[in-house]
Amino acid sequence: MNLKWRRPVKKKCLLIQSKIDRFLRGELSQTRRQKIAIHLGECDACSKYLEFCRKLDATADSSVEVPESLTQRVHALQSDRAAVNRTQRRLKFHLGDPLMKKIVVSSAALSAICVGIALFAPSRAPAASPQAAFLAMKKAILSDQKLADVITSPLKKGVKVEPAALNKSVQVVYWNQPNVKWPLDLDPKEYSQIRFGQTQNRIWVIPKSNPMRRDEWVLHEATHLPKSWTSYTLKPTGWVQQAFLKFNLVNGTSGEYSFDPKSGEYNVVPK
Amino acid sequence: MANEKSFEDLYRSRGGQVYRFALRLCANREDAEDLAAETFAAAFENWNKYRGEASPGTWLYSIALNKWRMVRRRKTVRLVGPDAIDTVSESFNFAELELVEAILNLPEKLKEAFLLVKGEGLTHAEAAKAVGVPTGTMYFRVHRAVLRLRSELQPQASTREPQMEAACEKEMSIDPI
Repeated sequence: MNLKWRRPVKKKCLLIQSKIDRFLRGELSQTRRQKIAIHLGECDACSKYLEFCRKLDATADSSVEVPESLTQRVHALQSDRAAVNRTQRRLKFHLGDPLMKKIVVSSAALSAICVGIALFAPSRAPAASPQAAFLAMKKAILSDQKLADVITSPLKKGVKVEPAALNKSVQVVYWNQPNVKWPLDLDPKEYSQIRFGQTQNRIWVIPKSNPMRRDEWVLHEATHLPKSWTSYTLKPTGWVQQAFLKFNLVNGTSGEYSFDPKSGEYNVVPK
Repeated sequence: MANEKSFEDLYRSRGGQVYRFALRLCANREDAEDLAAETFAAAFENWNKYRGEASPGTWLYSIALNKWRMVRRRKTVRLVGPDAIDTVSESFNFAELELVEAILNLPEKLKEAFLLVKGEGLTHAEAAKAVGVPTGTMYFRVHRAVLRLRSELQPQASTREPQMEAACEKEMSIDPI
């Protein structure tokens, strides 16, 4: 706390000081100027304030050299704007009011677009949203109990396939890592992004829990069921594949499938 | 073209003042040049609309101030530094760097008022028109700016009591010229 004693300034001095600037500039009436001049003769504090104001006023007349680059820029701007103005005047002369011209042209363009859409619009239904497609895919997979059992079984080496399920031509499932969580068990809301591929048979999602992960489903063109799913994690060395799920098409063969680690393929033992 | 010719005259007569004002506001030569160029570009665009109600100088200062406020809104401007103080001190006649630093540290409204009235030599009425405030407000801002500078440079001179200050402000707000 500053305990230094300061001499209080009189209210009259404060009011005089607030007018000293105008006093110096001659912006006060004659009567007020006389009153202030008398006070200044008597008051040391106000005289010092006057000196300080005079010192500040003396700074006004300093001259600064204008850089040549500024002059060039202003001249360039001037000529550019003048050229634009000339073009506008010419347009106005030849085409009438430019604003009216803009309105007419934009209305004509809008009408043409509307007519074009009405005539050439495709008759197919609008594309489903990614989220709707995601849900439809999930429903299609999980509605088939046999297939759902196959999918959710954490089998590594092979899976027994029922003959009835084989008629669906989509049978073999394997994982390259155990305990992989089946992504379709997640709710679509758990993904921060769901994107469609251009061919509409690819869905690419980013889970909210791990923004660095990319999950991808490729739908088979005929069956619209997942053909493969891969999950990658970005590590300092690059993208590392963590899990792999694949659907192989096996036509009309029933039996028990076993995984051959050497060839990396499934062997079918017919019944 | 008549307009271009008169605009050319305007730049020749006022270019230095506008650049100096921009330099004191920006405290940086490059920014000051940009600000002055933008000011004259805007002035040239609106030259046909200029009705002569204010003097050309006041009109240019008001454009420069508006442009400066837009710049400050777009980005944070750091003013006070050794380079800034050197740059601004060259535009003033005095050599006291503490005074320059104190000016740069003034609140924006007080600094604008101080630079227009004390720095550019406008009358209070002209400066008020350029800033867009009543003349009484301009008296108040300039006086506050001077008091602040004085208290920065001469701490013993700062003897204002709060109630005295309030009385002073009340007096100033109702006191006609």
